[in-house]
Amino acid sequence: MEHLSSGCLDLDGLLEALWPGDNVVFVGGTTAEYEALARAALTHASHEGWPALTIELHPHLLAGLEGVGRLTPSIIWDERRSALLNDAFESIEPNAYVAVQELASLFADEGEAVSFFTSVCPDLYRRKAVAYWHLAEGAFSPRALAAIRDCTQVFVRIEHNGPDRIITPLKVEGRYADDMFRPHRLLIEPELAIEPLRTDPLAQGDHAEALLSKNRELVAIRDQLNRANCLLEEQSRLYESLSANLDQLVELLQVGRRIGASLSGEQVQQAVVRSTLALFRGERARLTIEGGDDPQTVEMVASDSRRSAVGQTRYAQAIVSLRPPRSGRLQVWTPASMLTDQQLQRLLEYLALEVGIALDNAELHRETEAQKEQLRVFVSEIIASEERDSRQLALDLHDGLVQQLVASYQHLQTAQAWCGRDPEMQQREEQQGIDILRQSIVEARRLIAQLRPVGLDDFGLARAVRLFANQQAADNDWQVECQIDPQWPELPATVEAALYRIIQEATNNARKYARSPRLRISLRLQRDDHVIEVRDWGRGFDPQAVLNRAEHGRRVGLVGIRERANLLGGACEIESIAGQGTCIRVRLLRQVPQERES
Amino acid sequence: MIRIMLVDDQAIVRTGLRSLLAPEADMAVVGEAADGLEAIAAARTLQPDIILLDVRMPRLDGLAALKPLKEASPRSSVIMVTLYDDTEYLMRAVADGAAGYVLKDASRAALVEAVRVTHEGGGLISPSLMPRLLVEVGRLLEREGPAQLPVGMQPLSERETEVLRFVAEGLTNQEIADKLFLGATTVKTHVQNILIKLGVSDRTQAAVQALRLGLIQ
Repeated sequence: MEHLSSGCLDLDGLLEALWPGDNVVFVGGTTAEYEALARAALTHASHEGWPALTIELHPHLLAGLEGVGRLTPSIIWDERRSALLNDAFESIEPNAYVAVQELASLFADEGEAVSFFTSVCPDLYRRKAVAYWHLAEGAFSPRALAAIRDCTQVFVRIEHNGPDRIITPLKVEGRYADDMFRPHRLLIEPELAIEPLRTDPLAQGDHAEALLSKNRELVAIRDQLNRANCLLEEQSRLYESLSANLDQLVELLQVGRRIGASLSGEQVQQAVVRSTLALFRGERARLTIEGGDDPQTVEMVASDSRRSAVGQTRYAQAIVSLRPPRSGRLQVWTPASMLTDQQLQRLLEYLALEVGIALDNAELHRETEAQKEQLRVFVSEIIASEERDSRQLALDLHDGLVQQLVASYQHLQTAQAWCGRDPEMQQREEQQGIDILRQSIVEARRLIAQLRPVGLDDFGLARAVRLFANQQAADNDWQVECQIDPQWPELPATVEAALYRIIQEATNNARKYARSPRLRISLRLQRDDHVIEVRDWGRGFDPQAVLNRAEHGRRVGLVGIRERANLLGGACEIESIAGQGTCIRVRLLRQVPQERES
Repeated sequence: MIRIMLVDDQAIVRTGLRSLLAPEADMAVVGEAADGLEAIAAARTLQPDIILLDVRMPRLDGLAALKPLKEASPRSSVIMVTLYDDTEYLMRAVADGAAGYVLKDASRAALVEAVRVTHEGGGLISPSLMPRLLVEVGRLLEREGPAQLPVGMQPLSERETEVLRFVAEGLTNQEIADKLFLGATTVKTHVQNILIKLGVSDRTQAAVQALRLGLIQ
């Protein structure tokens, strides 16, 4: 018996033992091939005791099948073809096997055929009847084939290629085998059963011919096997490389997590070097960071026996780009590995990119923390200074103003007591009371001026600074010079208050520490900037040293000046030379809003 | 003549106080001091009847100076002169030996009266304040532990103990006299004897001492 095989065991099995409800469509091939496949399936069905049915235009094709029923062609050829055809299919009992061939000729047009399939196939599927459909090659357009494929479960194309028949599954719903869709060859007769050679001398010519032919077949089979072998080798190589790549990928992901897990610069650096070593299975890895306040080199050497023989070490380095002024370099020494030089370089550069981001983040974090700390120190100093100020004010009120008021009260009462007894004493006491009261008014004014600069609200910064300078000159007996640009504009009240405080602070510093005989306060406009400057000719100091000490709570003045300038978005420059004096300059961009706050 | 010493760090206030007291013919300011240390030294030599003592002063403030001041001049009555109407200060001051206090903004008459009443063994602390004051003082004294009777102290007579009890309640001589059906002068004599026997300078300290010695509850 002829045996038709797809050349693929899974597919063969599928075509012979279908699932109940399958609609199997063959496109192309010959009636013989279709018949071979259908006959095998129908036989199988009847052996299993399932109902099986053929609908045939050519009754002889499947003749002789036991237990297989038939639908008579006369129904199909009726005038009301499709309606009757539907009826015919409705009479098919459940679990039946049905084979129908050359369907195209049954329908008036393609549309009718498609609507037939879309109504009958689901119906058969529901009733678990298996049907074999055969469509001649070219009988339907690709569009109609696609519609039919959509409503059937198995859709197979049979093609001829010279002596070979190639069977290609286009759809196998619900069941797949790995090699089912691989290109394969359809083998037909004689079932690899090689005819035994006969030694009849008369037939030697024929035998030679047969041998030759057999040889050709064997060569073809051998070639096929070789090709399959090559394919297998290629696959296994690909698999190995894929799993190696996977390992590396996992490691790379872990590296990313490790170096991103910390915000401490030192920990990040350690993690980077350790990870580089692991990722490249390296002998040695080194990270160098330059250009910052704190240049660093971290290097690690593999502890295990990864070291390769001399001369086999490969080396790669990549630049780690960091925010200026810092820059970095990542270097790795690794034994020969699966990676090409180019791959090694690319991987290292990718790693360097990640490292750069992580190190920048750590650095930014450090800077933010430092700024937070600085701000905290400043705020606590401000609070301490405010506390000092209010204590000072309370003390000034207690020791100054209140005592003066008390004394004046005592003198005036005494004057009353002398009244009528001793006019001279009365007048003396009155005069004393009045004098002390006047002093207390001066004192009160002084205290208020300390709290809020006189004139700042009413006349603006320029005038207030002039008043301040005059007051300083009068109170402290030194030469205070004032240079104010006539174009100096009015600024928002908060800005003016801050600038005034800066001038006040700088002046206090000069008076307390510089011991300068003279002072110059200037308000200048320079290009786009507002510049205020307080210059003395006193002892001078080392600004950095003082600022550092200030951060430990001393000399709050300079830090206060700097922080106030920062808050205004300005810059503070402190120049000082021992023995030559000090110049404190605060520079603000002129784009400060011009309207005055009320 | 009541001999007075002024202790205040502000010269302007000392001048004011001196002026205040000048019209009083029976009072004389015999000395001045600008802080607690100066005050102790001056009191030792001057042994004034009355010391007007400021609370806030540099070097040694009024409260801290009280005890050494009383040691240097036990018969001096100390009147605290302060800006602040704070009874906590008062409790501390009385426990440490002050007779009472006047505010700096008290009228001239009130100050003069305070000096005179204290000097004459009268009460400076208002009766309404006295019980609370003594409770508070008692609390402060507990920390010092029980005191021993001064060696050779003459015991108080029954009558004197009775008078002392009323003194501790803040009653004036006249009120005590009314209660005991005595003349005011007799009561005054009893009080003077009590002060001498207890070795204290004024009524307030008599009450404090009585409390300290357990003579009254």
